[in-house]
Amino acid sequence: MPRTWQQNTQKYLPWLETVTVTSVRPNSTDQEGECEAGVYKLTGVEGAPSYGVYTKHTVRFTLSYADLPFDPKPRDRITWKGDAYTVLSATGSDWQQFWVADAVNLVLAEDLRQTGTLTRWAATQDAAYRQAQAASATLAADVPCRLQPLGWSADDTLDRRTGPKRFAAFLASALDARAKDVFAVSGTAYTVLEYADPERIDELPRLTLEEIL
Amino acid sequence: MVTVDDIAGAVGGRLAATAGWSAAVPGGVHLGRGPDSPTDYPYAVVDVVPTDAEVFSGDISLQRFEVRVGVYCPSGDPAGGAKTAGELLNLALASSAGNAAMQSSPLRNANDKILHCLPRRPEGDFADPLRGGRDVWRAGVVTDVLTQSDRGAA
Repeated sequence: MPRTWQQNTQKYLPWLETVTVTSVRPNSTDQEGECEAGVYKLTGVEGAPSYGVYTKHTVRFTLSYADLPFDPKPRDRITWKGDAYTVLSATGSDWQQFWVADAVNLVLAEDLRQTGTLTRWAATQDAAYRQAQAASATLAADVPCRLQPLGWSADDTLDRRTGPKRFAAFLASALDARAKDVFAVSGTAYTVLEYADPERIDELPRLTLEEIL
Repeated sequence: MVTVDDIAGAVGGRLAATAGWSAAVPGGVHLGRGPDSPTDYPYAVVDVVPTDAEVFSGDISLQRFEVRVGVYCPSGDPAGGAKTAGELLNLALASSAGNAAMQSSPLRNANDKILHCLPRRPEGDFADPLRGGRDVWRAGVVTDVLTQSDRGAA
């Protein structure tokens, strides 16, 4: 590929890597392009209190302007060494002949290898008009997740002295969850207490769950 | 004097002897506070609240106890568990048969007797927390247990 003199930045930021950039287009087919890139890791931080299980790695990619058939933008995806990074910002110009894209990779120890099932009780009633809770509908099955203990405190619950355990389940994608829904992981049914959808591409949706023995 | 333990023992014995109780309430009967780690649900908690004794000139005194039994039933697990628990509480403690059975329950001292076990009221409400996403219904009954106590015995 021919280079112009502006690309002398390679002397200082050698573009040694080959990355794949995917232009995510919600309303049409995604486009993909390979390009040369200089890669510089900016930060690696804990994404949420999780004893280091949930971490975020921010990487700055310098991308060849000429290689890419499209302009990179936030939400695009850059694949580098097998990891997928979500673009948070992209700047550049024809004159400079390169793009600078900051991207983040959300990494969880063991990744999101657990799976959960979200269910909701059917609206049937028993003879006394209580919610029967004998049958439920599956709203989402095999949801990639990571279950992380949050802790517990002693409390008087159901006439017992016990400690309802709290968990956070980090999810790969947003869920339409409600209070009293059940999120089951590895055969244990947890009560959904809270759902947080950060509505951001650099944070994961999270369910707060409770288990009472 | 008839103690709280005496009455709790009689109530627990009566519940265990009631046909169908063990299968319907596999978590067992517990005085005052439920089990730390329940082996099963539903389980029952018995509260025994004594009132002031009526003391006469001799050794005989009357002692009244309010006995409150609650069975914690996760809705739908098993189906009909709350309904069955309420019916069994009624049979065990609030019915004529329950009264007769309690009257014949031996207490710690031979001269102490249960004179009657009469129904006060049934109870039923949801507990605040959920278990595995299930509502937990507390099926309960409150009874009035009148005892005769012989102060001549320890």
